[in-house]
Amino acid sequence: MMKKRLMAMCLAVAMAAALAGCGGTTESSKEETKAAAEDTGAAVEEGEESGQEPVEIEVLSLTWGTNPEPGNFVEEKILEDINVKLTMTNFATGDDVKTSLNMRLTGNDAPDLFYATAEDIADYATKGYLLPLDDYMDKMPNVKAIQEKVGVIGQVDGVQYGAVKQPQIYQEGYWIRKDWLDAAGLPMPTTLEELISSVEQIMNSDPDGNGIDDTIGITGVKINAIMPILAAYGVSRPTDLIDQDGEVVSSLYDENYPDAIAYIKDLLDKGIIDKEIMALTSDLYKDKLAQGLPVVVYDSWTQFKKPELYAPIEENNPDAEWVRIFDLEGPGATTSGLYDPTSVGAIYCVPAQLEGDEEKLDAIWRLLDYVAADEGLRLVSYGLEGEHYTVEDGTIVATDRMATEADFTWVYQLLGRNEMEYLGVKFPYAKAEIESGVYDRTYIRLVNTLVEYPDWYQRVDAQRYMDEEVTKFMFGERPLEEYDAFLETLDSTYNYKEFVAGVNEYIQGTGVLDN
Amino acid sequence: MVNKTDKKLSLQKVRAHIPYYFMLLPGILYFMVYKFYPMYGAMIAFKDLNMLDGILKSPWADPWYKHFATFFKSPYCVELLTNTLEISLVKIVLGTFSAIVLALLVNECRNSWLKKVVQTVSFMPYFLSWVVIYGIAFAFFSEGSGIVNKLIEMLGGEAIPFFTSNSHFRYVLYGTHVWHGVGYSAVVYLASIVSIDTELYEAATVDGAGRFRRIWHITLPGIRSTIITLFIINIGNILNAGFDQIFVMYNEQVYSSADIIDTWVYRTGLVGMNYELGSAVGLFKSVLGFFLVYITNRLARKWGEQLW
Amino acid sequence: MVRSKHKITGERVLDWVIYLILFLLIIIFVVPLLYVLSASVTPYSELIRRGGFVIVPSELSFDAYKELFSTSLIGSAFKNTLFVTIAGTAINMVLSILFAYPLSKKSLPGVKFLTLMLVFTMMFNGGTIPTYFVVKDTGLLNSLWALIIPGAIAQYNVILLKNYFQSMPDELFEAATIDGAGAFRVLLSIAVPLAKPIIMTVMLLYMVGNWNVFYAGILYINSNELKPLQVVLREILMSSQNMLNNVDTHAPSLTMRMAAIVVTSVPIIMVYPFVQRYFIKGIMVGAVKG
Repeated sequence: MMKKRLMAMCLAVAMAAALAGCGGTTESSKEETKAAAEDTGAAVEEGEESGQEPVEIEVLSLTWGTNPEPGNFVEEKILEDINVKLTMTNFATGDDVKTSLNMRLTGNDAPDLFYATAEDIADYATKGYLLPLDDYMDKMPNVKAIQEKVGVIGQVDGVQYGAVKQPQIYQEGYWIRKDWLDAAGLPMPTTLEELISSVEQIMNSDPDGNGIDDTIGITGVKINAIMPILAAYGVSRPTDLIDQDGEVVSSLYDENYPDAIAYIKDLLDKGIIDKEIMALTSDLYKDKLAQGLPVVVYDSWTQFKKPELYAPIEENNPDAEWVRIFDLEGPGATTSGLYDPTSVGAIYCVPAQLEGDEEKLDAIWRLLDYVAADEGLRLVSYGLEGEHYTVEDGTIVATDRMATEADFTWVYQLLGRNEMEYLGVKFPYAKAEIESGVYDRTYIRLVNTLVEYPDWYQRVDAQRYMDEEVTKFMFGERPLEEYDAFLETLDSTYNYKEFVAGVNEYIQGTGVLDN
Repeated sequence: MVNKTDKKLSLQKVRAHIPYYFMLLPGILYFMVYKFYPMYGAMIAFKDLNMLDGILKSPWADPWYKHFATFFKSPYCVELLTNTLEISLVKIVLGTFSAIVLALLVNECRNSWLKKVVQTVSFMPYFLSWVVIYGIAFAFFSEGSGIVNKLIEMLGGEAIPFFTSNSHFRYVLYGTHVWHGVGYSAVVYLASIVSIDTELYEAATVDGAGRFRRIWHITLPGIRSTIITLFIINIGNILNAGFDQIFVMYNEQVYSSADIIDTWVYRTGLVGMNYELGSAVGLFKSVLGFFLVYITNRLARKWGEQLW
Repeated sequence: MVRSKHKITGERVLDWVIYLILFLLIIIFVVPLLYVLSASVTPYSELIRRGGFVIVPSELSFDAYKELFSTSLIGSAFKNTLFVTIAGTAINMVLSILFAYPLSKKSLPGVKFLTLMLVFTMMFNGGTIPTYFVVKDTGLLNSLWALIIPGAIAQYNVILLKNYFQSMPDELFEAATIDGAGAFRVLLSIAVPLAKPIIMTVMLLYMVGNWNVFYAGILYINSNELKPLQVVLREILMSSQNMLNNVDTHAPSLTMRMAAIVVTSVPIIMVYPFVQRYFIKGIMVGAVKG
């Protein structure tokens, strides 16, 4: 009994002590950080004399659940080569990264280097959280070279705020069950009409022979499932902004848009497009795919070429042959789909609070430049030469150990990688497949990641309005005759035309569309 | 003579109170540090936050209601409010009713094996995250392949688009809400039921009261205090309609029946680090919630069941 | 005599109706849970072959569990969450009981005000930013204590305890006080033992709350070794959601995800049967007389 009383007293005292120790607001912690920065400045000079202590750099990253062991061979080699000790702080989803990062930026507690998307950068920069990189680009020649390739991405009002990853290649599109096409005696469709009639014919012929009418025509995750159909009409998803002959426009105003909607509505009514697409998550969609139900799906080449992803499909549908459909001709255009060449995986930024901390900043420039090219790039792409890969006749060849021991190195690819070479090394069996998707294909170009949003534009509500109303038109919940009324409301409530015009002017100014 | 005894008694009374204040001390300290002190953050709702200046030195928003206006000016504002209130109210009523019924059923059950199993089994869904529950619900209720819909089609009906239709989606929300929470909520009611004096039951049986009369006249009044207390607390939370559940399960097709204040704030606030908006809406919810709690508490006074 | 026989049969019928309803309820709860369990031991391809929903697998495979423990952070996450649950609940209970008991004494000066303040903090809070600062300034950042201290007292649970103490007959306490017992003595030897049902309930609620801690884990914890169970679980569940990164990531299979769910839920569910023992009727009988 006395013990409990004692414990209660102790807790009370502890609380009181904590309260006393709590100095107050950020003001005090800011002073601390500044003082610490000055201290390290002094330490640098000492360090240089006494033989260089490694500089500790914390990187905040989005790694989708992959958590490499601390002290692995990548981190060791980086420590060896450039004297930087890395600590990776990883999160599994973009939202989690944002939650933690926003809190730490606000609390003056930011990591030394962190992941951001092109859309976030504008906000962080205008609020003053980011360190401008223009003055330091000359210290990072490799990073500079990549930046020149990607142009204005990572810039806000002409100032460079982040180190941009090399762009990834286009991966997604429609895939069709070639074995079912063959069984029905049909050729690969080249026009939208051919595609739909083939799908219809196959659906009605009970292709899996189980006596149940369970075949799904076209499916995918949410609106992606119909992206190529929209593209065939020369239009895009409701909220997208596209490049049409050098001008940035919203395809909602295109004369083909109502026709595209009507066509899709027809397909939904007939059951050719899976009515449930909007409720599907990635997992639920994959279940349908593995069950061998759909004729056509919208997906990425990895689903069909990466062994661990394809295995469930293969086991249950050993005769299945999935082939990518490329150029599809439609009433509006002949394209392979919608694509944003400026969509980069990530941009790594430096917090403004590091200003003045020469030692850390130097280490960051070394790190970024190291992984951007040559030896460092190969380390984070493939692993250690001789152990995970060998160089034969100038080409890189993976050893058996790469797949098992070096499968996490991508987490350290802060500046991305040489995509085509990388994919060729890691997935040699899919090389032809990948290349045929990239070269000599036409796509409708999306410019969403280049958009800067003015304060007056009610972005979230406007996007909801567009998505929701177009969905209603497609599913027959709103009569198509009201399409013009929809556009009028869009403009009167959200000033959408003005918004698009402003974006057009801005993007034209950057010259990105000129290539 | 009387004065001296009075003084002595009141001094004793005061001395008697002191241990209680000691007991309260740790809790008071905790609330001061972690609950009251951070309340200065409510200012954020009225400022344009610039963390380099700190919360205190950030400039005031111009006009002061700027961030509140962001919410109220949204064309969806009314819909969000109605959805939130409707969904919340139904969940409170359904939730309370089902938890009480379950607690009563368990209590009246004479088979101890059945009792234990039901309690444990009904408690389990609480631990599943909504992502998992969505997957399970989809397996049962999906339009294309759901077990329930297959049954409906076998009986000659048409499949019901539970997840993509505004007229049906709320049933999924209510159903999964009850499935998820009833076991957990029933625990509190059970604890109350168990502490009712059994002599009351014995007396009633002797007087010839049957099952239902015993429940109506003894059990329910016996847990009346718990019911009312929990109800008051739930009413205070009425503007929180269940973000975690709805966020996982909704999609564009059911926005108009399922988009609530919190999901809207989440989408709008995440864009551009808009803490001010979150703070403003949070303040609005708190004020309204507290007001409702105050009124409900006054009503509860009539039955002597007030919170304070 | 006829009347009571009639009643007895009526009651028996009611008993069976109750049994039936409860039995149906068991099915409604168990079937989906069984699905999760069986999906964790059934290879994905068999799951798909049988239409995506399997209750009784034809073969059991514990590969997913092996994979889970060798490739993910679940091991360390378990230790973290165990610590938070045990130490945290202990702190929760001590602080909550100490706080709730005085509040149940209606004659204590200031009781009404304190209760109002309690309810006030339930409705109003300063938001994540100032709370983050307080957590930071009290030195809790990036430590497991950040998952315990900021949530040390749940007002809802205090109200439950307070109500229960209030419902206990005054004579009980008066008798003890007259015998010369101090407030602490009364609390520990009378109030607490007799309030077992609500105390066990509140303890259960706290344990569940501590076991499920998630948001605080994202906000206050950066190191992988300190991540609690729910954060790691969500990483495992969400990592299959992104199409573009399939090139690099190894998304865990559905089987492994189900195994993760089983592993994170089973331990805490096991606590419940122990708590049930305390839901004994008649605990109050004779308390006043005895």
